Amino acid sequence: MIAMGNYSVSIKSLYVVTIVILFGALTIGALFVAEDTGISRLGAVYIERSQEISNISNAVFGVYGMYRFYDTLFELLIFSTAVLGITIFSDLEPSPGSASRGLVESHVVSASASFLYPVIAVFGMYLAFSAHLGPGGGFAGGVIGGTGILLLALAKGAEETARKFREDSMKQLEYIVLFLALSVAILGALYPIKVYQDILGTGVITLVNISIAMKVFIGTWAILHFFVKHRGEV
Amino acid sequence: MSTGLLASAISIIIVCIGVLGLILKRNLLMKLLSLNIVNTATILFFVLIVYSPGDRAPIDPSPGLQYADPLPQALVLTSIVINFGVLALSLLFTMVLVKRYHTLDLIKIEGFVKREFEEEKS
Amino acid sequence: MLILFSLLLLGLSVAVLLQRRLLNAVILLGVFSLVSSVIYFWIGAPDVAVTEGAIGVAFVTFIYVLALSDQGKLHVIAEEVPPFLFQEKGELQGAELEILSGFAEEINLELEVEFVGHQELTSLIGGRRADVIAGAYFPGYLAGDGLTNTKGYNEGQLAKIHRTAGGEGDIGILAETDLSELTEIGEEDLSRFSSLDEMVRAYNEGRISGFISDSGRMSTALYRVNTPLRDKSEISTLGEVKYGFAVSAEEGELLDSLNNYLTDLARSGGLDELLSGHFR
Repeated sequence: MIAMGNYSVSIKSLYVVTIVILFGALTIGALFVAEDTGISRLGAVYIERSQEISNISNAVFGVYGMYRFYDTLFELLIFSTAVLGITIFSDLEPSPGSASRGLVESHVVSASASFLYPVIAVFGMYLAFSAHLGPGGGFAGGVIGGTGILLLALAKGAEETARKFREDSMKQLEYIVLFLALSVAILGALYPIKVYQDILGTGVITLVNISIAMKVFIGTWAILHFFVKHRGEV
Repeated sequence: MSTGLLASAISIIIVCIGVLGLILKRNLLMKLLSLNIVNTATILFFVLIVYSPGDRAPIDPSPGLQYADPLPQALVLTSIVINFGVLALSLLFTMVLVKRYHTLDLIKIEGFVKREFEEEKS
Repeated sequence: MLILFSLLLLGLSVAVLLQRRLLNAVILLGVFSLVSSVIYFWIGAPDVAVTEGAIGVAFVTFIYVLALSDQGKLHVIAEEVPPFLFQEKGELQGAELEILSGFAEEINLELEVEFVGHQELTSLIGGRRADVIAGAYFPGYLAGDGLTNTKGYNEGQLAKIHRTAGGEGDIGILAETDLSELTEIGEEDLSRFSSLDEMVRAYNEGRISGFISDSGRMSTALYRVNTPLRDKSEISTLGEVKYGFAVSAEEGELLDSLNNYLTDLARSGGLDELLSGHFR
């Protein structure tokens, strides 16, 4: 015999399974219908436009960095809000703050980390600067820069990393980047994109890239820093 | 049925599996892992639904060639980063809960919270 | 090829959810992200592939592992008492180890055992330093507030060993032990010792006429009492004790879950099997 408590739980989960399977079947059915009518490719217009504007050869960057920059700006704000939440909550419950070494106790790893870190940072910067030309972009550039911090934290420990990336200077940098991004957005609202590009040339595209990349980089740094700080060790 | 549509149908199945895990698993970290699966599969669906075989990456497009649709790609690119931020925030909440209640079981945590609430009220 | 990779993703997602150990699930999730990144590259989305690769494989795995190892430890302090909890050739063994590691697995923590002296036990419990006291603990073994006892998992006796010929001197007992509820021996006849070894040495040297201990420790003590003396001694039972664990009084949730685990274990019959394996 099944106990009454367990029985009711299993009935509930049966409902859940049925509903989810029904949802999946309906969506896949809708896909079949869509294949008959044909799925429109909305982005074709952006491909045509990026053929016209000479500076942007990566159409994906064209969408999120130029034509839909406000989308990107506000999504960056959501990311910043999440990071702000992490900052606040890790300060609420301070960790015992024990000193820590690196996770990997090997001279080879820690030596090669200090040699590899600049290479990773330069690669991230390259991706950010050349976002309008090739694959990469501000998001990927910022995240890859963050991977460098991850390597440094794993190989050398939290304290060494905190000495390299100081909390106060990173926060100042964040304000500067926010100012940059907002000024680009406001300038874009004041002038039509064509005029805007005539005045600033390719510089404005790089400005957009750098502000996205720096924002993401600071965000990943903050997540790593406060996670490690909350725990007290890597 | 084209390959892109078939693959996006598979990604919908992955979404369903993730949702099932999200609802049925009692472990908080397992729930977050399922949420992560749902995220990735949704992104996959958006990119795959417009795929047709022979698409090139939409870089340096010239007329007459077939390119992948840049719009869904640009939209999901930002959402990957946001997912990461939200995941980190919810992991931090989980860590705070674990430090307080010494368990990851959601039903047990609910019981503890309910008991604390009643104690506070009385 | 695309379908193949998608099916691989499907299999990986099922595998992640079927894992019992969280660390395996996290690593499999990293593989899941890597395969999806390959798919993005395959279908002409290199920007998405690079971002997903860096975030899904490196960052998400890292922060999951950080969160896992944070909640990861059930810190147990214990006095080393074979066959309850002891070290042999650098490996932990004993009946309590099996109970505690089963409990740790159930609440998804990693077990960490530290052997300390008898007198350090009270000062270490509470806060983040230690969660559970083990090592043939029974109620009354440690006097003082700040401790709550869990349910017992095994029964034992409180015993007194003394010379058959009688003899002069006090009865030895471990310091910080509070036996007022268990026996009727007056406080004035007792002399306190900080460790079992010291007490046995005093008995061997004739400074005390006998000593009181529980049956778990008594077998260790008898092993150390020198042989001719052992023949001239007799053991009398003073009362019953129940071996269990102790947690800090503030940790109500931990106490509840440990009690539930012990009850479940006793009901399922696993406890008897486990005890008969260790206490012959």
